[in-house]
Amino acid sequence: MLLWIFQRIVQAVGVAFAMMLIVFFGLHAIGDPIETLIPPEATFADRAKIIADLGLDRPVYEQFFFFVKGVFEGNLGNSYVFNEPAVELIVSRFPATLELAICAVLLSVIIGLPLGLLAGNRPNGLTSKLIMNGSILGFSLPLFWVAILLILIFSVTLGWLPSSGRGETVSVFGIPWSFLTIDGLRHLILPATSLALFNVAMVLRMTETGVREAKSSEYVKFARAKGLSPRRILLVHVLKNVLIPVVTVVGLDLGTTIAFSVVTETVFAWPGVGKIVIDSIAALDRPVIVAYLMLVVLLFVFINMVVDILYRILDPRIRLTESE
Amino acid sequence: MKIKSLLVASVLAVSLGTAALADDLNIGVGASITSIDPHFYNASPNNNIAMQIFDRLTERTATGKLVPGLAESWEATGDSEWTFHLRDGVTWHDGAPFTSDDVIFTLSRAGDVPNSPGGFGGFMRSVETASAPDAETVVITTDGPAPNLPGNLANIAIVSRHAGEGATTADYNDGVAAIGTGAFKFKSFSKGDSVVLERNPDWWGHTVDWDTATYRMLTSNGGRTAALLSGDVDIIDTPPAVDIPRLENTDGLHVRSTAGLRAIYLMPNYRPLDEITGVSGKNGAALSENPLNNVSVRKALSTAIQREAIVERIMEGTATASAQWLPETAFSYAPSQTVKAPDLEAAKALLAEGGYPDGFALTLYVPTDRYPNAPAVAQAVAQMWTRIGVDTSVEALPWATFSGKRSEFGIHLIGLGNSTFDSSSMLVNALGTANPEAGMGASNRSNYSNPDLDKITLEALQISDDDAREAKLIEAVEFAMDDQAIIPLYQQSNAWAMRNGVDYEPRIDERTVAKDIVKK
Repeated sequence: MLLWIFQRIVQAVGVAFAMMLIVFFGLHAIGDPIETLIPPEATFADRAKIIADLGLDRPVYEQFFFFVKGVFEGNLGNSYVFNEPAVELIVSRFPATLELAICAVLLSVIIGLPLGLLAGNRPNGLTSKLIMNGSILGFSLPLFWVAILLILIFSVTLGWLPSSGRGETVSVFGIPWSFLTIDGLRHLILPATSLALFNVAMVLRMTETGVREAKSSEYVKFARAKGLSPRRILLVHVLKNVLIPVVTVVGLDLGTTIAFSVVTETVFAWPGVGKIVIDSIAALDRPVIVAYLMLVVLLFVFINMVVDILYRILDPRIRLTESE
Repeated sequence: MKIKSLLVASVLAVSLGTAALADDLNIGVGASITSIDPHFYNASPNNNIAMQIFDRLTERTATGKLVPGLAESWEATGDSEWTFHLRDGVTWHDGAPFTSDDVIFTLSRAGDVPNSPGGFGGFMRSVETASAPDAETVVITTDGPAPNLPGNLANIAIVSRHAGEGATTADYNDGVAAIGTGAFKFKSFSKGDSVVLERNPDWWGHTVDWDTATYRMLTSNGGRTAALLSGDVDIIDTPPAVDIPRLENTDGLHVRSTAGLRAIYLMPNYRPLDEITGVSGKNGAALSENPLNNVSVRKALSTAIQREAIVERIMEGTATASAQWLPETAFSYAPSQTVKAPDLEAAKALLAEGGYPDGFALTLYVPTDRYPNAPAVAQAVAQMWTRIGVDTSVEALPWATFSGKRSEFGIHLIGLGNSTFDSSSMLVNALGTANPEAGMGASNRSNYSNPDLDKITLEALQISDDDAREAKLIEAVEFAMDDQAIIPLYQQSNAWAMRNGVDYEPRIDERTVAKDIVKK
């Protein structure tokens, strides 16, 4: 087992390094940051100074060497347009994205689960048909369009909620959070809702299928024969079993939601990681793009490794087949 | 529960009440502000903020007129020497007095900020040395006659030596070094979100109508319009062209616009055929040389373009058709260069005259995310050219990819923001023969080179008398257009949409200046 974990770590390092190569050289193939950034009034001397300042006059392999060295020191260089360490920039914006993503995932459970239970419990009822058909919209409507529509209805026409930004924040451990103030919460509702829409539909449909499946299973029949109330069967026995796949998917979903939030953040001017990455791609701000991609890669490599290890610890069957 | 909701309601009411009492201005800007350091990056969003916190020796009005700033007056005191007389009694935000030493410090810093991706060195290219004979006078010697210097200095924010010496860009972003003499004091900067400023009651200039001004970065077009419609912000810049009719027709809102300095034009590439892409014979046949090097061909391409239709239909009136690269009100606008109606027969005749009676094939390259509606404009131009026998296809690329390949494109659409407010910016940087010693052509991606034009340009730049200089610059514009060095399309308009309680005189330089936004 220990040897296996060690092998797995070596593998993960290999993947991270391969990604590093792809990210670095891929970005270098895209374009020239100097041409993207430099104002037309710049002189030849300005241009030479900028190229030297940003280290772009060195050969590519040398730049790569410094980049790799930086990775091990946790320093991926300064952002070209912000002139601040790229890693810090990404990390400082991460809480805003995390807050939004967690709210969206919570919303999807709070709304999706009860609706799914309802729909699955009486699959032929009118309510159930409405819910199931409505959930198709959640899958199929484009995210940015929903976002703009929500703004039009709730901010422009009704004037209930603000259209953009993060609102008032409160600092806890030096990190600003929106959900602790009323103003912040009001700002959070629309972006979180539009981000949650897809997940609501997914959780809802998974729950519905689970409930329908469980209702025909032996243990539900037995519970019914025992004379338990339908309510108790649904909310205690069925729900427990349905929750297992839902929880797995919701957990995985958090990652996807963070990635999806790029669009939502731009429309609602939510100052998270997604917005800064979009801006950086447009400006070809290489260090920030690299820092973001590397952090995401490391995050996923780490998650996958932990999952693999946990699988082995939790499920003896996998361990046993391997040792044979 | 009831008590709780009552409490919430009263808290809301109180916060709404105070919001109505204080004069807070909320501005929605379409581009991201990346730094408070006024010398770090010469880009419009950053300059917007620098114009509030800091002052310049000279200032530009909304129409581009040069007026006194921190310098009350200035005069040429020799062939290559300018003397600036500074305003008396100006203090920094921290109370320290403003002196000529601060100007000297600024001139040493502005072109030399570490890691700057494009600073302000270009505006000070003629500056040799600067000295301060006394606290209220600055003498700048230049490397030759530099009549443009006062105009160029309208781009350089004056920072203080006591707060700025040794300060890094991060110190400015934190506010530690963001001590200016300007109309607003720095309050906070949240990257990618907002910049908050508060009024400087001791400012030497006109009365400012606002206690605080908040610049909010709303980079999504739809989101920016919605923020104004819902009342989250009082004014927005760069309203999307498609939304302007709606904004104009909404009760309680109005739109102000003016022809801007930004020219959108087509840039032919003058390199030999094997160094460029997107130019070939019809159906991929080979050509013997680059047809764009032929002035008759360039004139044919220009003659075929229906500029008025592009401006009306595609730009929806947010641009003015142009046959040069300046708006009519600007210094050195050439009245002789008027927009002509398209003439297909004349264009075909010109093509034949250039040796291509059957036309050829072109690819028109255009950035997707840089100028409003540019890809649609390129599509229209391509159709107009195809009609005279030049089979044109359009290749649209994101700016990040587009910008680095401009030297390879056969012909591309591009814009010039023009911070010199006259024709010299184009003549020197984009059309001048690349020559580091003469300081010409640093942004010349087309390899255009015309020694006669260079000569007129350099001569014009040395003339101190304004009228004589304007005449010479107009001569250069006429010369360049006679050679059809570029194919101009239109001047972009600058528009602002706002609620009726505020008003803003539209600026030709795209800047959104909080101190000049007034309450109505």
